[in-house]
Amino acid sequence: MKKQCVFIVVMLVSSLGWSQQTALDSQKAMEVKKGVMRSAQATRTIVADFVQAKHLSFLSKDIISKGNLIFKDPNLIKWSYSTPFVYSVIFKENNLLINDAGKKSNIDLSSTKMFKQLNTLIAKSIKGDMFDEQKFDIQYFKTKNNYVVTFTSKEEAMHSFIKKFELTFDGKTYQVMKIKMIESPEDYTLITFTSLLVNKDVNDEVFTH
Amino acid sequence: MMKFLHISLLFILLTTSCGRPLFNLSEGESFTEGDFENPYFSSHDIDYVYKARIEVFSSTLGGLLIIKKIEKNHHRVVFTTEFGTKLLDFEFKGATFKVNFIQQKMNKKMLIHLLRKDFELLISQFNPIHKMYLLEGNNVFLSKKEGKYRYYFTDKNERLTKISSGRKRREQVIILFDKNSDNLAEEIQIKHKNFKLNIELSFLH
Repeated sequence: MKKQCVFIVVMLVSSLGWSQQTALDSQKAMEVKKGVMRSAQATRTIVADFVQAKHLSFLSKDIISKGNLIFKDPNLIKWSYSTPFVYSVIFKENNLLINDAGKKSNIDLSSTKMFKQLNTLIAKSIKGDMFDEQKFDIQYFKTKNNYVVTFTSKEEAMHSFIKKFELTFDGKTYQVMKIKMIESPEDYTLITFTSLLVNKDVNDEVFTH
Repeated sequence: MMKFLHISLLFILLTTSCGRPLFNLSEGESFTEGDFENPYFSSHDIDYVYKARIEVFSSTLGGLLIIKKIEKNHHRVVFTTEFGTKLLDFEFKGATFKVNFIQQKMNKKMLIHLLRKDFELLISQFNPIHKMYLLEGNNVFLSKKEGKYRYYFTDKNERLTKISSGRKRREQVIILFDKNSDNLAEEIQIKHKNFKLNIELSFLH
C-alpha cells in the first residue's frame, strides 16, 4: 500500500513537471527558431522595464533590483538601475560607459575578451538572436503559454562566467520575455522584462555618457 | 655585571615600550577575560548586501558585496557586478579559507591575500580581549591575532565604530562603521594606510 502511494506521488510530481516544461520535437523546434529569428530581424529597438533577481543558494531571499533597458540595433544597450541603487551602464562599441550614482567611468573592453563576449551575448539575447549552433548546444521547450530555449556554451572558458543562458519567448510574438543567466545549478541571475515596447523611436543621444 | 645591566635596561625599555599604546589612549578599567564581539555580520537571518566600490591602485571596481553568516564561524563573501556576474566567492570556515571562485583578471595572489585579510577583519565576530583602554570616555579594546594589533573603538552607546589593525606602532588598515544599529552598519569604509586599496560599502534595503 505504501509502495503504491509513493508510486502515485512520484507519477503526480513528474506529470506536474512535465506539464510545466516539455521538450519540443525537431520540427516544432525549427518553427520556434524561425519565429524568434523573424521577430529578431524585425526588431530595431526595444524599450522595457526590467526586474532582476540574483539568486545565490546560500541567501535567504533573492537580491531584487529594478530599472529600465533601452536597446538599439545592432548593439547599443543601456541598462539603467533605479532601485535599490542608481547605476547605469552603456555598451557601446568596445566600451562600457558607467555612471555609478554620478561617478562616471569608462572600461575599455578590447583587452577583456571574455567581458566583450559576454556583452555581445547579452545584446544577442535581448534581441533573441543567439541561434549559433557552432557556439551553443541549443534545446527547445514549451511551457503553458511560452517557449523556453536554453543555450549552453561550448566554450569552456565561458563557463567561468555563465554556463547556460535560458531565454523565455512569448508564445505568440516570439519576443524575449526573460533572460536567465545560469552560473551553476544553484546560482543564477533572472531578468524579467515588463512593459516592453518594440520599435519605438530611440534617439542615439540616449547612449551618450 | 655590566652585561647583566645592559640586558636589564634593554628588557625594561622593551617592556615599557610594549605597554604604550599606538593611540592617545588611557588605561581602562580592569575587565574580566573574554571576547570583544563584532555584531555587524553576526546574524544568520540577515542577507548582508552592500553596494560596493573597490579602489585598487589605479582601478575602480563597482558591484555588490554579499556577506552571509552560514553558521557559527562560517561566512560566505561574494562580490558580483551590478548585473549579477560573480567576480569572487570566498568562504571563511573557522581557520579555513577557500576561494570558491575568482574571475581570471582578479586572480592575483597578492590581491586575494589583501582582500582575504580585509574581509576576515571585517567579519571576525569573537575577538579575545588582550587589554582595555579609554579614549574620550569611550572603551577601546585591544585584541591580538597573528602578530597584528587590532583595536576596537566603541562610542558612548558601546557600539563598534572603528577597527584599527596593524603592527605595534603602525596602523595599516582601518574600518569605519557608520549609520550603525545594534547588528547592522549601513555605511562601511575599509582603508589601507600603506597603499591604495579602499572599499566603500552602502547597505541595500
